[in-house]
Amino acid sequence: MFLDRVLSHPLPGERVIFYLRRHWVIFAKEVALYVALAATPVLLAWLMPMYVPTMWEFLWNGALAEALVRLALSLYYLGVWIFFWHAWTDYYLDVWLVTNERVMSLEQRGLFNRRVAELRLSRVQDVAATVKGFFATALDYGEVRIQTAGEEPNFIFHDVSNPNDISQKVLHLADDWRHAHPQPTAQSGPSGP
Amino acid sequence: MILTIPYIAFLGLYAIFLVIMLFLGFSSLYHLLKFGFFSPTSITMTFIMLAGTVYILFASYQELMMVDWSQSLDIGLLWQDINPL
Repeated sequence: MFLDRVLSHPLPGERVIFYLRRHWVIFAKEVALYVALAATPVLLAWLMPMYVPTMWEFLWNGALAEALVRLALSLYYLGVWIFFWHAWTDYYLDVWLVTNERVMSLEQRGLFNRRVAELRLSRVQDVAATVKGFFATALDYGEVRIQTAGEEPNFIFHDVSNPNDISQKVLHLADDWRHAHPQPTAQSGPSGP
Repeated sequence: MILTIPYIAFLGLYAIFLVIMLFLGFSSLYHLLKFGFFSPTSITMTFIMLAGTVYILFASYQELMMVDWSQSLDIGLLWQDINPL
C-alpha cells in the first residue's frame, strides 16, 4: 500500500485521513503542451512541401542535411518523450497527506530535489482556500493555505480539487486534535489578601 | 587546406546527447521506484513510458540506418563555396 510507504514512520495512533494531488487539469495542460511539441514536426512535414518545396528537397537530398535532420528529429522526439515522462513523475510524486496528527507535503522539485515537510495539527491556526481564475472556478480547484502558529512558514496545497471542502476538513481535524489533546490552562496564582 | 569531417562524427555527438536524455529518463524512473507507489497507475505509466522510449530508439535506429555514414564533409571546399573573395 503506497500510503505505508509515504508514511513510513507513523506516530502512535496515527492514521491517514486523506491525501491530495494537484488537480488533473494541471497535468492536462502539460499533456497539451507536449502533444503540440510532438505535432510540430508533423505539421512542418505537411506544410513545407507545399510552401517551400526547394528547402524540403534540400533537407532530404541524402547528404549532410538529411543526416542532420534525422539526428535532430530523433533527439527531438526522445527529448519530448523524456520530458513528458519527467512532467508526469513530478505530478505523480507531489502529494499532500493529511493524518489525524499532522499534515505532510512531499514535493518533487526537479531531478534531484525532493522536499518533505510536515506540520503538526496542533500548530494549525487558520486555513484559507483561494479559487482564482476562470478554469479554477469552473473546475473547482485552487490553493489551500494553512496558517501556522509562530514563525513557521505557511503550508500550502497548490491547485488541489475542492479547496473549500479541504480547508474545512483540515480545520475540523485541527479542532478534533485539540479536543483529544486538551492543553492545561494556566492556573492563576494565589490572590492577594 | 581541406578539412574533412566524417559524418560518423555527428553520430558521436548524437550519442552524447542520447546518453544525457536517457540519464534524465532513468532518473525519473529512479524517483518513481524510490519515492513512488506501487499502484496500478504507477506500474502502467512506467510500462508505457519504457515502451515509448524503446519504440523511439528503435524508430531512430531504423531512420538513421538509411543514412550513408561513410560520407564526409569537406570544410575547405565548403569555405571556398561560401567565401566571396
